[in-house]
Amino acid sequence: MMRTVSVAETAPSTYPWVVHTEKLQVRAGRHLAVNELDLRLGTGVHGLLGPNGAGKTTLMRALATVLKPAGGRLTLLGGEVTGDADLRAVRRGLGYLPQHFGFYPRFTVREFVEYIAWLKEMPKAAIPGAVQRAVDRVGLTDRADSRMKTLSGGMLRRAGIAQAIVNDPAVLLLDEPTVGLDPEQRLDFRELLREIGLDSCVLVSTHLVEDVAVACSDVVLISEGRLVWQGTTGQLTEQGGAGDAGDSATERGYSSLLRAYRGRVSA
Amino acid sequence: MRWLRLHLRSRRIPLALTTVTTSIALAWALSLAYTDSATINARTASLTIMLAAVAVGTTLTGADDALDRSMAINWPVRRAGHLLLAAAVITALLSLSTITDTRYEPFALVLRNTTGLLGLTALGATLLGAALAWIAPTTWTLIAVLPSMGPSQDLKMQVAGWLVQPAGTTAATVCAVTLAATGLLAYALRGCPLRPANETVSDR
Amino acid sequence: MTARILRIELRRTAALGIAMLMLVTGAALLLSATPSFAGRWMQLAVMARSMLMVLLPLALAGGAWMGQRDARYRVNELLASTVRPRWQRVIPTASALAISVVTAYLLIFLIAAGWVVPTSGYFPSATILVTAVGVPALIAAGWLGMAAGRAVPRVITAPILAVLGFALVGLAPELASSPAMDTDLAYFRPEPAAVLLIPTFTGLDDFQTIATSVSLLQALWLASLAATGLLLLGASRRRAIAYAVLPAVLGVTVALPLLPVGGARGAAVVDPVAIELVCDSDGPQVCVTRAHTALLPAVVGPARQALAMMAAKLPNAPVRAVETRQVSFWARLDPHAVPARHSPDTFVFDTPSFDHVGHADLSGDYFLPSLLQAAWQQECGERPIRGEVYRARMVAAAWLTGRPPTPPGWAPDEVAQMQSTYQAFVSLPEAEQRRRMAAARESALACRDDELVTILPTDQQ
Repeated sequence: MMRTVSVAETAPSTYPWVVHTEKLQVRAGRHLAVNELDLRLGTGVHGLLGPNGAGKTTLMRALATVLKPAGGRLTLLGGEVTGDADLRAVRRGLGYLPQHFGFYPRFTVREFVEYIAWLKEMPKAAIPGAVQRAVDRVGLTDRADSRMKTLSGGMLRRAGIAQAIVNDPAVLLLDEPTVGLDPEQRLDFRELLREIGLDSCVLVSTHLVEDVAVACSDVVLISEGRLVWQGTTGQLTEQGGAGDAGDSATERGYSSLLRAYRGRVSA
Repeated sequence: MRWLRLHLRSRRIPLALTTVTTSIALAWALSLAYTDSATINARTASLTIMLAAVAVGTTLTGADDALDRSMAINWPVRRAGHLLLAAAVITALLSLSTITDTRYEPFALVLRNTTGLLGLTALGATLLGAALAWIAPTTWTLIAVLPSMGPSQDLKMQVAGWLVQPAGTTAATVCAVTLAATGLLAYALRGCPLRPANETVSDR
Repeated sequence: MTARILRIELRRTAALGIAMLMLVTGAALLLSATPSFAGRWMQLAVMARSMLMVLLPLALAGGAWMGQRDARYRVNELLASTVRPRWQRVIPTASALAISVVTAYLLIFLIAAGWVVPTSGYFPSATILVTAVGVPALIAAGWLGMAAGRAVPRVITAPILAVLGFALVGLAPELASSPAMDTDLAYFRPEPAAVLLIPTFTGLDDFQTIATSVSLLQALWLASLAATGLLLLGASRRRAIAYAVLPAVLGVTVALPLLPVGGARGAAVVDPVAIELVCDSDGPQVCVTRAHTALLPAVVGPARQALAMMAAKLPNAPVRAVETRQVSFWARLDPHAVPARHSPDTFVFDTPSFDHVGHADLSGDYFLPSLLQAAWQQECGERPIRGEVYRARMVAAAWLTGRPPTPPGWAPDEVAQMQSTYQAFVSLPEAEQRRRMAAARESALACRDDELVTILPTDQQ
């Protein structure tokens, strides 16, 4: 089932990059988790990799306009995100799945996704159809009317993805979306990502390197709040050699890049 | 002693203890400043003890019930000890006031109200979970401290307003003992209902 | 769409549970006290308002519980990335709570009305307004509770708010009316006007109603408080929080100067329709007030019996019985007002007790003696009455029945003393008894007690 597309959406975009940061600085508590990060993302599926504590979640929060940048410039969908700017226009085109997905346990899946759709100011008439479509796309059709507290971990994650995609966002931010999904569901999820990535900018933060290798067209590697490397998945696999740690070419490329970065930093 | 300290922190006992002490002290100070009588008003005392009992109610569960239950220690004994210790602490704090000019007295009344309300809180925690354990004690105390409730000869009024009945009233004592015993047994044997970790964390 | 979201909120949040708790508690409390309002609409309204003493703290606690919802389920991060600002987001939740608590309150009223409809004498329109003031009160409590719960999302917030709320609406009015000993009677100094900002009532006389202006002012103040609660709930920036208190401040500055002093007594006015007389004229006329119409059937028999007894033994005996139309002394703001005296052809009797369904409760053998004593009573204004006067009246009433007095609930030695006094009196010659009783009645009707106490032996006068 296709959704109707408005004129504004089919107009050519006036901005070069969907997500554009320049020397972005974001604080997590007192610690500067994102430190002078330059990032440019366009349409497609981008994987966000990095060691723990690299600032991935903080970056996702800043891009989701949950955290205010402490310094630098962040431009989403052509609109600048500063402290006082009116973020409503930007947020209409956002979809966000946090790492810790909080939900109202007594709401059903359908009700929760409807609630988020209402919060995203989707047009009233379009909401029921969009909700059904989102629930179908994540494969929760038969559990759409059961309460969220009765769902297993993987189904909850899929419900979270459903609420993120309900408004067909131009920028989709998924923080650890495949936690708890079984291998079959992960295959479906990759298919979903590829489909969405055709006309949206999707940023997936994950530790599962195979997901990145298969579903993502682009990989962003950050460490200690800075950009280490950005390129295609093919280029990532070329970076790795036989001597690097890892069981797959992507993993070897990852550890090789990190080692080089750490070598540069300590030098 | 390290395990004891960690256990106390996991149950957020320092915060509960602060709440208990603050409410008892505040009621005492207000009675000292604004009334002339040597005995603290039964209504004020009942509300104070209720707040203390409810504060203890928030400590009746940890952050993850399922994890706690998988541990090999003897939970019924610990839970019973938890409640008895809480009753002792609250009663002791209330009895501290006997050295001052404004007192929570007589001791039998203090003991009766504390054990009864704690038992009711524990019963609520067993049935509804620690986060909702405050409902029963709060509602019953609000009913008992209404101006239209007071020391009375009618049995129904004595049970409904058991908190404000004088110290020797049989019906009130029976009511309190029943609540205390039921709550202690139920909480010690069953503990709080099993809830997913997301829901059991009642405070941030 | 907001209707759909509102339905979701009603079904999936704690709002209905809170309403059920309030409904059960309030209904149980109210139905355990039906004799105090059975058959009288105004009393039902006042009792419903007095239930706010329990309902408002519960609404505060329930609101605090609901206000913590976002913090408890950790959805704040997700909601921060959505479009609608907080003040739009809270409206369905706040509306759900408001609808639930108000429905619970109105249901309590309607359930208790089952004990009023069959036996009520008339319907004062002020009932609706007085009851309706509870609506903005509960909404204000719920929304303020939600704002507090959002600000301090801890489990202990709800019970603390309940205690604070009770201290404010239950204990504060009592403290404000501190008794001041007057020279002759202990009467209460009029409470400051601020007491009427608290929407609970403790009691009202059957013949009183609450002035419309007072109810409207209270409703205005409470509505402004509710607006403040909602604004506090929806405010995210510090400046918005500061502006949020403006409606309440405005409400207080408008209402407080216009509210009367004296609490419920100051707000009450005598209801002229309530004190109209409803009479049974098949025989010697017996009248009760319109507010107490349901008591007439039970009162007629004993009243005519008393009239017959008086006619048999008293010269210039009364020929009609009328219920008292005096407002009880505790409900009067000015206890020294002197009411109009009644003429000798009438005797004025005190209202009997109500039973659970609104009829007269004449059990306990108190009513006929009180009717007979009324022959020696007159409205003289509030002044101290010596104990001898009461004992003399008791002897007089017993003399009319021809049997020794048996006051219920007295100690045996006091009953023995009463009976010996009676025996001493009836040992006098018949004519002397009649002469003394008639003289006592004449002086009592002129508000002098000296002849009355001569009934007693000289050592007890």
